Amino acid sequence: MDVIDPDLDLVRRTKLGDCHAFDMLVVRHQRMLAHVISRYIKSPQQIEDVTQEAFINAYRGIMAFRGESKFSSWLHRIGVNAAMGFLATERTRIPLYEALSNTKTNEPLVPEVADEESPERLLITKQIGETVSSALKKLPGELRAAITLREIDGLNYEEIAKIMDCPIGTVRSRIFRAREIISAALRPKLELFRDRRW
Amino acid sequence: MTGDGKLKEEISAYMDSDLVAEETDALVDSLRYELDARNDWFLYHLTGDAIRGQTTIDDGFSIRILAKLKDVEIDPLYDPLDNSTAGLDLF
Repeated sequence: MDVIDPDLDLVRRTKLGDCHAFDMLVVRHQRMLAHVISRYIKSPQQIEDVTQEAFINAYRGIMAFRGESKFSSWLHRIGVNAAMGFLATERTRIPLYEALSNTKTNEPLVPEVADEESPERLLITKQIGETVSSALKKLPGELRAAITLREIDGLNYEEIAKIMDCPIGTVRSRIFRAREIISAALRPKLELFRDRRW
Repeated sequence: MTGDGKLKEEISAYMDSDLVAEETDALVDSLRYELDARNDWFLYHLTGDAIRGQTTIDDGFSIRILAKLKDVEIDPLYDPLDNSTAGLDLF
């Protein structure tokens, strides 16, 4: 029996008109895409706006994705295009004297955008990172190794099974248990932040 | 393992391309209709992203996207990577 690539499965469902399947793709890729866009744009609000724009472009043009590349790669390129489009628009708003001074120094005409990261948002992000890091460190060695090989090294279950010298079913179980333990540590934090944006 | 535990393990396996086609319809239905399953989908992905040091978007982001998608139609002629078919500003 063939296993299913979740991205291809969710894209297929989106093409059939299931916008909730696309919502699952958003949950799956939102931070990766925002991370890509944050290489070009500094302001968190603008990163979110451009990330939204990229996802909506992807949804509108989902028929153009034919599985010739990974969905994440396709989305990555849409995100870069959206960021470039945003910067091009911003560039037209730069007053002439600034454009001239940039020309003199040969610096690229990338606008300076104020960093609007709020202290609260920074704190929440930091706490989530610390909670996950702490939970990861406390995991039994075999669970920590399995989740690290999967999430950091991007190995599939078969590759992890070979490295850990165990059946694939054991890898599946270890990764699930690791996710559950880390999620259990995160849940109270997220409850705490429920009414706040992070 | 309880039914809930089995569903959670299937969510985790589906994320990692370790679920067979026959199992996915019921799972995706659960993810669509069951809040707990949807929360697990969200949390398991947040966990992976946090391990990789990516925690930038807030938890309401996908809900805001879903609200916007209601006003957007899939366009079979639109290719987001082809500048000649791009142009409609949705914002």
